[in-house]
Amino acid sequence: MIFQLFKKKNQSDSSNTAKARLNNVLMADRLKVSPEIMEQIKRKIQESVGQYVDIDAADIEMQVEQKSNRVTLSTKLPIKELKKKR
Amino acid sequence: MGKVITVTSGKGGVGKTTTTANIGAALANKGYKVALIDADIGLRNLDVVLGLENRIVFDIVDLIEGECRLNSALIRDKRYEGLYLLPAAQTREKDAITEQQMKDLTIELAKEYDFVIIDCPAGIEQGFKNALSGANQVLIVTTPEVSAVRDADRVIGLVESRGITNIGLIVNRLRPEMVERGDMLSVEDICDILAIKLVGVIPEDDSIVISTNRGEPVIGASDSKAGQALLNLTQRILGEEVPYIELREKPKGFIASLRSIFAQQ
Ligand SMILES: Nc1ncnc2c1ncn2[C@@H]1O[C@H](COP(=O)(O)OP(=O)(O)O)[C@@H](O)[C@H]1O
Ligand SMILES: [Mg+2]
Repeated sequence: MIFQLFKKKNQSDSSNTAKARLNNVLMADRLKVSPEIMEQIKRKIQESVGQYVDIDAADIEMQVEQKSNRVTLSTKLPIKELKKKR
Repeated sequence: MGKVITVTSGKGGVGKTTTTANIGAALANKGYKVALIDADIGLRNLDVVLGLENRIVFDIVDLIEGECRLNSALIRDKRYEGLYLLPAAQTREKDAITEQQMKDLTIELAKEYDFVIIDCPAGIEQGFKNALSGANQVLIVTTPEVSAVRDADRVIGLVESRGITNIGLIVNRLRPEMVERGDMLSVEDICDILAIKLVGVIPEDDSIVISTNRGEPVIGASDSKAGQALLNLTQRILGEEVPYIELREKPKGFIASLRSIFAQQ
């Protein structure tokens, strides 16, 4: 790919930190809610889905995308293990 | 009808004026008739970047208020045939012009010019709205910093909400060695986040400072990576496919220098 050039090999970190912070702040900007509310949304999703499957709370990813006037919120919930059927 | 392109960013100091001046000069070089508008009322800038500051008689507000005719307000660049500048007013308020007046002006200019390129002020207030009022295409300039990308994201949302769909991204002041070290957001990172079409990557380059000191577009400087990047970017605006140049200084081993010689052909 073209951008191989621009890609980092041994990511020291500060650019990863920048990317993570950017993602966070944009999520709040795009949804027009505060970062605290974002945290609450995350917790609620974790709680409700967590009733059925065991989620790795530390690795939950949330992303807000904006494409021509439509905003979508997507989450990635890493599953540790499926809970036994009740 | 010519095309109206607005260069904007949200954040100040990221390279809008530099980009506008150079795209204008590059298009004129290709034989197009180009009018550049400095829409930064109160903070006139494009004139000095182009080295035309001593030739200003009338400005955009004089023109809109009917103090002068279109042709007497536009300054002709003697070095680049076909390049004209409509300077901003320096001693007026930002709201001296309305959106409708600006739109009418761009329509008027687009009848006569192949390209009308508007250098937008920083911010998202009146001046920003004015600059967008007649745009067919918008170029968003950002740098690889959290604050600049955040502002770019906000501005993209505002531009899209006006129904403008032709939006291109320019990443300026990239330092490839820092990206490689992992200490700067990469072009890929920025494209992932902003999700609009990339049209150019301009490296951090001393030759921009030097050219700006002289009041000359950097596209005229031989051997300038930033100049080359701006020329390529201009071709992409014209719809041509141009590969992205290697921005990193090559490690000068023997094989590497051979390869770089061949790569240039
Ligand atoms: N790629 C670059 N390399 C080095 N200096 C740059 C580069 N791009 C812009 N600059 C410098 O940064 C400053 C701000 O650029 P300018 O085009 O005036 O930004 P804006 O119009 O967005 O405020 C200027 O002094 C300019 O010379
Ligand atoms: Mg400027």
